[in-house]
Amino acid sequence: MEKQELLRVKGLKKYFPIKKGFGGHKVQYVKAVDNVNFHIYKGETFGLVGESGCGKSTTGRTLIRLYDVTEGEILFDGTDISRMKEKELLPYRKKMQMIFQDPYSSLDARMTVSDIIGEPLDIHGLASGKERKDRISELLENVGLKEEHANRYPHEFSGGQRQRVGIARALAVNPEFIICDEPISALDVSIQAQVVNMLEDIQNQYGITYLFIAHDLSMVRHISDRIGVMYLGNLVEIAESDELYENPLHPYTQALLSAIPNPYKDKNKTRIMLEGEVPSPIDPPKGCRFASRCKYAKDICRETEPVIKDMGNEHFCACHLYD
Amino acid sequence: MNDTILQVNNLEVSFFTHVGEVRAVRDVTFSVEKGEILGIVGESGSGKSTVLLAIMSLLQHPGKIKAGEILFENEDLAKKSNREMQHIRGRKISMIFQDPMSSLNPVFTVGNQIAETIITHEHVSRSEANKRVLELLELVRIPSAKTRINSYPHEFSGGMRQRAMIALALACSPQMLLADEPTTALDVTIQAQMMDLLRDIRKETNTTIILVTHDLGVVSEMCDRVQVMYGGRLMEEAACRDIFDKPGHPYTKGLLRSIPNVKKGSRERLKPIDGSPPDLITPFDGCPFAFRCPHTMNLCMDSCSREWEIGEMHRCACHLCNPEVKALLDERGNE
Repeated sequence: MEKQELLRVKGLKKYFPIKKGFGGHKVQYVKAVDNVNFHIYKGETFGLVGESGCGKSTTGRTLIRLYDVTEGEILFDGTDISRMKEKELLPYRKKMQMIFQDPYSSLDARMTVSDIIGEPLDIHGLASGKERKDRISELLENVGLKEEHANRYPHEFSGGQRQRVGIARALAVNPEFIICDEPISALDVSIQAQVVNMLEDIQNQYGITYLFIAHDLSMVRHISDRIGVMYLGNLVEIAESDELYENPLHPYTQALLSAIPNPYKDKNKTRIMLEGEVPSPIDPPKGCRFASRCKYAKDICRETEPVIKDMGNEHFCACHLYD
Repeated sequence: MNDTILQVNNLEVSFFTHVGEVRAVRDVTFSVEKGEILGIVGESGSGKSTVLLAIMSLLQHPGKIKAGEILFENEDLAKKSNREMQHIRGRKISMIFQDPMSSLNPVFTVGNQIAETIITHEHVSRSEANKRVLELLELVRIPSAKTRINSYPHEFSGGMRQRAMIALALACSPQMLLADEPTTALDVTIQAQMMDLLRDIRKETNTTIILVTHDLGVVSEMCDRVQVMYGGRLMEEAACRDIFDKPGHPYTKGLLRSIPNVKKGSRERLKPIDGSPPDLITPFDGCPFAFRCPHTMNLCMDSCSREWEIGEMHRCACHLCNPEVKALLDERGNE
């Protein structure tokens, strides 16, 4: 079966201005996402990994237009949504939903669970009256909660249960695409597995496409079909998940993967220690952004920025080593 | 032969809140050998951090040590006054916290804060203290320590702040270092640097380290011995390899099954532990894991098992490890 593209991102840039000085005239930019290209197939889970500040969450939020795009295109089912006005965007908002990291601050403490889940139904005019009530019960059941939970407030739930409420809210509008922004990082280990299994069940049942953003690399490998690795606003490598973990090409990916503490690690593999810290995204280094910490860095790496190239087998990598 | 540096006997810690007594730590007994790295793992609310705070006498109101002893160098820390503890904290036992930003004072330079600790405890001169600070910053591998000594915490990155925290904790060469989730707030590559650093420090200074974490991966790479806590009780204790290779307690087994294995074929479905963590307010004498355990018996609801020896240095608090229960179950199985 031919894989169908659901989303294609072309040259996506998101800069945040920092105003300095009196009256805020001296403007610099934090280049949070700088020229990112990738695509996501229908029904798959695309994992996005990287360290804090690499722009993975900004990418997710820009895709769903929570942030305005600085430059580039976001093609959803072939339509560019990057410049759409709020009104035109509304039908697309129904198709794309998001699950947030913090189950505490992403739910309004003064709304009951049924209000929280019902709100998207009201906004998009999907159900009312008895139909609305039934839909809420159905959604609660889908995420492993009970009907009687509907009239409770978020503080009456544990972290794992709140995350379920957040997932039910995202599912309310029957979306095609859900961005999961670190959905399990705030949860305990034994609860994480429950939520991940539930996300997989929902995907199998409704054929939803996921963009799964996380820094827990072992969980990302478990859930994703393909994975993109980000470093300082750039996407440095994209590959199918087993391929990426068995055969990482980019020196950053290699170091990142070797840093995962894992009880069942192959003892023969030595850890690649990265020296130093991530440079500032305000004034990122010229050339390859990883060059300052890369042990293979050559002169060309400090001069020209590598472009992401197909290395065959759906494996893309942006590194001068493979020129 | 190793000697014991810390012996905790039947420790009970409770928080007396307005909704009732929360029994955060219940009947916990363990010992720590000189120079070892002991890991305590557990989920949030398991009581692992509370144990550390109790050792340091840093429990905040309404928390109280209800019973038990904390023997450090043959002295019971639980009975010491705040004044006496001030001589021990920082000098003999020190602590690293999870969040380095909120545990450093933003209005003093990093060098100043470390020097202050040294001057308070060792009554040395300013210049002497500054010399020590420089050595410490070099020990924790802060690049260009000479200039960094005059930086403020906000000028440091997350990893550097955690290094500064470690330097601060090591300032008076303590015998024991208590680390509460020291790498949780850090990225994996920085976490790897930090684990390396702590291991090196142990090698160079022979400091005993108690590491509290929820990350089984970190434990496997750092620790000599591991204790698993759940619902305020100690569930299992073993050498690091044994916890992963032959876990004895159903909770430990469940925990290991619920993390994905970074190996080939890792796409198979995860096996989570059903249910949610126990509520510590309702009085319950049975095993805290009984409500989520696949092997629960009537016995588990009535009493918590004592610790059974199930291997060399391997103790497990589960009724299934009781030889009598085992014999009974076998008999029933044969019928």
